[in-house]
Amino acid sequence: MQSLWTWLNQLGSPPNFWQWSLPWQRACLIISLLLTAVGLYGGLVLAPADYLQGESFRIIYIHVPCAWMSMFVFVFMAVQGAIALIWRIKLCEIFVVAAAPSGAIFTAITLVTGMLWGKPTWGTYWTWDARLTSELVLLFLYLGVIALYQAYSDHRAGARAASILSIIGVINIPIIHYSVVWWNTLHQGDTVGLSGSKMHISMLWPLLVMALALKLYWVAVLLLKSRVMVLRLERSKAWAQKALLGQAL
Amino acid sequence: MSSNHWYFVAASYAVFFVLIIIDWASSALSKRHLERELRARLRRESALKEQHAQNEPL
Repeated sequence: MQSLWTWLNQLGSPPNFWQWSLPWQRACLIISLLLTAVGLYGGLVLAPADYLQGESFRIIYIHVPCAWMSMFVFVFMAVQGAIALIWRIKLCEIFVVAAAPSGAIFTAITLVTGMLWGKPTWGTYWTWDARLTSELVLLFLYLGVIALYQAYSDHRAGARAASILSIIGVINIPIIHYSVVWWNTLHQGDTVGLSGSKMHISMLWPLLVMALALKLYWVAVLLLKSRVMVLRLERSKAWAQKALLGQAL
Repeated sequence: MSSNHWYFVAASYAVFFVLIIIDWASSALSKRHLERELRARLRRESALKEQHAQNEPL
C-alpha cells in the first residue's frame, strides 16, 4: 500500500507528469480519431434509419456520448477535487481546473444537439423538462467552476475553491441521471444501460465506438490542458526550463 | 413523421466538430504561445548572463 502511494505521488509530480503525459496524449488522440472515423461511418452510413424518427435519430451518435461525458467529467472533477483538498496533490488541483472547459463543451454540445433532435421529434427545441433543465444547470456549474477559478489571482486558492464547488455540484449528477425516473419527463428513459440495451446491435455498436472515441479525446485534451497549466505554474523551476530548452526549438 | 431531417443531423454534427476543434485548438495554441514566450525569455536571460560574464573585469 505504501509503495502504491509512493508510486502515485511520483507519477503526480509535475516533472514526471510532463514526461509521461505526452506519449499518452498523442496515443489517445490518434486512437480517438481512428475510432471517430469508424463510429461516424457506422452511425451515418451503416446503421439503418429509425422506423419512427427517420434520419434524425443519427444525432444520438454525438448527443449521447457527449451527455455521458458531461456527467463523467464532473464526477471526475469532484473526485480530483476531494483528493486535492485532502492530500494537497498539485496535479489533482490542475486536473479539476483543466477538465472544466471540456466538460462545459460536452454539456453545450449535449444541449444544442438535444435541441436539434427535439425539434423534429417533439416539435419544439426546448421544454423545461427535468432532464433538460438539470443538464442546463450542469452547464452553469461548469461555467461557475471556470469563473470561480479565474476570480482568484492565486492558483492554489482558485483551484481549492473550484474543487469545493465541484464537490458540491456533483449532487446534480444523480439528479440528471434519475430525472427520467423520478419525474414524468418528455425525455425518454435510458436506452443503453449497464443491464443491457433496447437498441439493435446494428445501431448500438457505432454509439459505443463513438463513446470510447470521445472518452479518449477527452483524456488527450485533459493531458494537453494540464501540460499547459503545469508549464505555466512551474516555469521558474529548473526542470521546466531544462524541458523547454531540451525540446526542438 | 418525415424521415427527411438530414439538415438537423448536419447542423448537430457541425456544432459538434466546431466546438471540439475550438476546444483542442485553443489549448494547443495557448501551449505553443506559452512555450515560445518562455523559450524567448530563457534565451534573453542566458544572453544577458553571457554579456555580464564578458564585461566582468579580469
